[in-house]
Amino acid sequence: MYVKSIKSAIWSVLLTVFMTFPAMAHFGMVIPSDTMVMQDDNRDITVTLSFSHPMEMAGMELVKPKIFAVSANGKKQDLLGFLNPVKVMDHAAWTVQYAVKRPGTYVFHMEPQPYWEPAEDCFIVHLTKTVVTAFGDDEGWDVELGLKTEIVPITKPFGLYKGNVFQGIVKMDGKPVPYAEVEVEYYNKEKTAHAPTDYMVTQTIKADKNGLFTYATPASGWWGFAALNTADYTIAYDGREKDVEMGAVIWVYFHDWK
Amino acid sequence: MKCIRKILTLGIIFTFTWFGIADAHKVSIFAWVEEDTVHTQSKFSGGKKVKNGKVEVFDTKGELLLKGHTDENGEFSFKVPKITELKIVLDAGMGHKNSWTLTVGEVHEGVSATDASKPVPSDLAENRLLSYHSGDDITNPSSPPDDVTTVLSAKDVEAIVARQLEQKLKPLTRMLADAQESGPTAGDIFGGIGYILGLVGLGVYIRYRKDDRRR
Repeated sequence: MYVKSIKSAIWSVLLTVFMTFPAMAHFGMVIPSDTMVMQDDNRDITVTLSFSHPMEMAGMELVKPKIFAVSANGKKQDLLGFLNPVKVMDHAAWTVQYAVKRPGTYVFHMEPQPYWEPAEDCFIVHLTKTVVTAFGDDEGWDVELGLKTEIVPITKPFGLYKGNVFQGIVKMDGKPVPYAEVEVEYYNKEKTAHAPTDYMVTQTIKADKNGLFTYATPASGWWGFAALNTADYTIAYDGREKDVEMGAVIWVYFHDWK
Repeated sequence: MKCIRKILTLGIIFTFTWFGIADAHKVSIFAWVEEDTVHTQSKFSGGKKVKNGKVEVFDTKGELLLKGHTDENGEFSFKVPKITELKIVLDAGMGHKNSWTLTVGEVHEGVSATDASKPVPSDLAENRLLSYHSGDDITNPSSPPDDVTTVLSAKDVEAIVARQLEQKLKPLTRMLADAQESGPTAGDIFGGIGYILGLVGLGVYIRYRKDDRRR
């Protein structure tokens, strides 16, 4: 009896320690109101930028990003000046209205200001992007923006059904990152998804030796893929140099099969 | 027996090839208005340009206004024939067909060029954006430029109303269009026949195989 209670005490301590760790991954978010703008759709799309733990719907402050731009048809356009402040998950976020007028593949991307995370004793910078296509065009979805770190899609990142696999190559300074770690989370917008255990809030996969990762989605909705690496620079905080977690994030929408 | 196998094989091949064609290279046409000219661009999915594709332009009553062919770059342009909704139909041959509809609002807007009054950034407003960002004297950079207000003429108002009306009526138009499209297409019919032949063939095959075994 005595032994049993000690055992259970140890178990509960262990559980508490381990359970708190795997949960809650940070995700930069760039979410458009439409991913495939068709002839009869509203051609003014709304793109929302935020920073959160998307599966648990816990928001964090996103100060005005350093860069927010769209690349389409070989041209890059700065949208930073058009951002309007909003609240997402009760925290500061940003939104922009964008009128899509021509066919093309529009890649929206954001570089936030470094975010100080005391719990991890490091800064977090998530270079986040998403792809919107319009009016029948479907070229250029695999374009590499040339960011410091980036997920280059191998799967066309729109027009996907739930259950489809998503594949991408993790790159840092233009080169594939072998065995890069990729965290995957669902944007639990309606709070309908419940993870049976804390291990299942964020799913983690690793790329192969060519930096290629694969993930099959179990549900329709927005899925975020964050490839995390440590930057080759540090940022001073309280007189000490701190590591910077460089994330390459892509958001992809998966549709219901009807 | 041989004959049945043939039917079965043909049925299966027919079914699969028929469905295959439509999806492998879908065709699309896009049109926009610049001043008094309508520009169109036609592509196959994957980006290949449609060369020498037939383009026909209809009004709301379905009356053919003009026709032409796409050039080497998949483009075909024409002067706005009249201020009306324009349905532009591309026929790239081999059953590759698609259309793009320009609303009265868009046609009018293009002709009267009131586009600059829209405060929303778009893929067309580059110059304005760049000049906006290079200005140092802007006090509140987080709001869209409001210095581009223009005096609206009666024509502009008309165009805006037309556009709004179009927007509101869209669900209705779409419903109508859907209703028109709900009948089976040639693809459905031939595919269906293929299925039936295939299934009949399969049934007969299984039946005869049983007989074969008994023998």
